Order: sequence, then structure tokens, then C-alpha cells
Amino acid sequence: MRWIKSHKFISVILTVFIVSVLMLGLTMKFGNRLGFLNKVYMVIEKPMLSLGESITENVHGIFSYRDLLEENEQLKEENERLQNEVISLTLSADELQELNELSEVLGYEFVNPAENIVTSNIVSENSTNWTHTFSIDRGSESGIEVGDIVLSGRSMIGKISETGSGWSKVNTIFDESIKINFAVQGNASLTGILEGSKDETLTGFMLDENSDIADGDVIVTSGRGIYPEGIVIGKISKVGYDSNRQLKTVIIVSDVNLSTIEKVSVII
Amino acid sequence: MKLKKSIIVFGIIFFIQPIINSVLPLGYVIHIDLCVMMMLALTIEEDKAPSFLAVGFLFALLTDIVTARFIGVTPIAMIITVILIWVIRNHINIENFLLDVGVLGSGLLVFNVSKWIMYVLLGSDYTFLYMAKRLHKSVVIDLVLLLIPLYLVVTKAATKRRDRYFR
Repeated sequence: MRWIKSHKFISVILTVFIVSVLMLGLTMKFGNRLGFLNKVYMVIEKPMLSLGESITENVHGIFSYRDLLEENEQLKEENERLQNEVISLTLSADELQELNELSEVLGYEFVNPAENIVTSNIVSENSTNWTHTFSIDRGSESGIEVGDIVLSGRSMIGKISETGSGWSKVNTIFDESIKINFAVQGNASLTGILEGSKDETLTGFMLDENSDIADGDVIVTSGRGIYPEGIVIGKISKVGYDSNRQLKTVIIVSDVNLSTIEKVSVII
Repeated sequence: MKLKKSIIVFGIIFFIQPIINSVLPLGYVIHIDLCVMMMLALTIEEDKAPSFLAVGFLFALLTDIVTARFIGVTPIAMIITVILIWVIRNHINIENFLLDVGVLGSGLLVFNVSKWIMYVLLGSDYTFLYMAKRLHKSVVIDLVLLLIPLYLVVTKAATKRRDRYFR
């Protein structure tokens, strides 16, 4: 005891080191069993995050007032155009009945996407300088499992890395631990591997160095590996060549801006 | 810094962390860790005050529990950084702003690299290049954010030296 009192600094360091190593060992052996604390933290973090977002939006709004007015006008016009489009595209009750009867006759079974998708809110961001993760407010109670794909609109943004009741953690596609086998939309033979990210873009390489690809090509999941086929990843913004590895490299810009999205869908 | 004061300061930092990261226009590539920055600043300022160290490590552990994949990595990386700063300060005990910049920069560098090494040892597949591409930006931004208050403290102390008391 006397030694501890006279060596407070070393005692604190040693105690923290021993506790941390123990915790690390326990996490490695049994996994993160303290996931329920995540839920508690989410309750605290959510209002903080909303406050931060509202501050940013308000400050941004002050400086871009004219742009917002212009955008508002454009959106009004687009809304009107889309409403007319919806009217022209809506199936009449008779046509729908006809289609249902036809599918029964042909024995066509289809999957109802609504039953396989869970919509969820992003409640916290848990990123460090190289891990890119965030938490959502749905978990195992909704049927979400580790490895499920997470989308924003039509685009892939990551996969579930941990889940519990009322919470799940998502590893984003910007996290280097996610390797995706991709293909060019419209030509499934042009495939490559997404291997990491640089700033806010994704980087990858083509499996065939003679692949005929160009800027603007849409990149989708190839269906090889754990990810289902045809999920949009982004668009090619630059094609290059790595002479050291003798590989055709690509820089892909995702359609999704992770800093602004609030809701995601999980394919279960 | 007393224990009570340390708990309040680190508690506030823990809760305002999400606000800071969503307000600062750094995108989602750079993540500001206020708890680490506070620890570094206090290690330079307060030398070996066990109460703030204990509280800082505790909040680092808490952050790992609620956000990280491996619990305990951040406190261990912090211990390595604090010891490094302590050793440097013991050998070069000069009050100099540029020296503080160097010490803080080295501290941030060591913290990030040791955290990455532990992640790799624990089985993550983050390559060195991947980490290195982000490291310089994060160190520079953290350093700038740390140096602003430090510079204000230094200039305040320098003006006080000019009053009659120091003649």
C-alpha cells in the first residue's frame, strides 16, 4: 500500500494496463458481450448527433440561401413531373388482377422485397481514422444477422458486423476489411475486386488487365462471394494502371454520401 | 487536476464528441478523438497527475466498450503515448512552444500507429499503406486543434511576464 501511495503514476499505468489486457483477452475469447451498453450509448448519442447536424444544416443554410431557393424551385418542378409520371405508371386494379391471375396460372413465385428488407435509422457513428462503422437502431429482434447487406436506396453501403437486440453495427464499404468482388453493369465478364478506399472514394483493380472499361461505368456486385449479384456500388471516376502490380486500377465514387444519410435498409 | 474536475471535463468531452465530429467539415474519413487530445494536452501541462490519467484511461475504456470492436486497445495505446511524452519531457525539460508541437505530433503519431499495430495483431486486415494514407491528415488536424488552445495559453503567459511583477 505504501508503495502504491508513493508511486501513484506507475500504479495507475499498471492498473489500467492490466485491466485493458484482461478486457482485450475476454473480448477475443468471448466477443464483445457488452453490446447492451451500445444501446444505452445510442440513447445518449442520438440527441447529440441531431444537435450537431442541425447546427451544420443551419450554418450551411445561412451561407447557401440563394442556392436553396433555386433548389426548391427545381424540386417543385420535378415533383410535379413525377406526380404526372406516377399517374401514368400506376397499374389499374383490373391490370393488377390480371397479372396476379397470370402468375398463379404460370406458377410464378416471386419474393416480396418488403418482407426481406428492414428499414432502420442511423443512430451513431463509431468511426476511427481507419475503421468506418456506424450503428443502427434495429437488430436481432428484426431478423438482422451478421453479414447482412446494408443499402441506401439502390446502393450498397456496407454489411452488418455485430448485432444485438435493438442495435446493429455496420461496417461500411469504405472500411478496408470489406473486400467486394464487383462487375461492370451490363457486362458481367468485366470483374474486379474492391480493395479499399482513399479519402471519400473507393479503390479497386480489374482481374483482367485488358478489361474495356471507362469513366462513368456503373459498378455492381458480381454475385461471387458473399454479396448477392447486381447491387450498385458506384461509378468509375478514373481508370489507371499500376505498373508494379501490372493491374488495371479503378477509382469508384459511391452514390451515397455517408455524412448525410439518415436511414438505411438491411436485406435479411 | 483534481479527480472531481477530471471526471467533469472528460464526461463533457465524452458527450460532446458526436457533436464535434458532425459539426466539423472533415467528412467521414477523419475522426477527431477529443478524449485522446485532452489526455495529450494534460500530459504536457500537468506532467504526472494520477487522477486525470486514471479518469482519462477510464473514459478511453468506456469509448472502446460502446464503439470499438476490441475493448482495451485505446487505453493501451494511450499508456504507450503518455509514457513516451513523459520520457521526452524528462529528458528535454524546456518550456518551448515548438518543442510542445514536436512532442504532441510524436504523441499523436505513436498513438495512431500503436493502435493500428494492435488491431493488426488482433486479426484485422488493415494494411500499413491503408493506415499511412490517413495518418498524416489525422495527425495534422488533431495537432492544429490541440495547438490553438495551447498557443493561447502560451501567449497569455508571455504577456503576464511583461508586467511589473516579473521585473
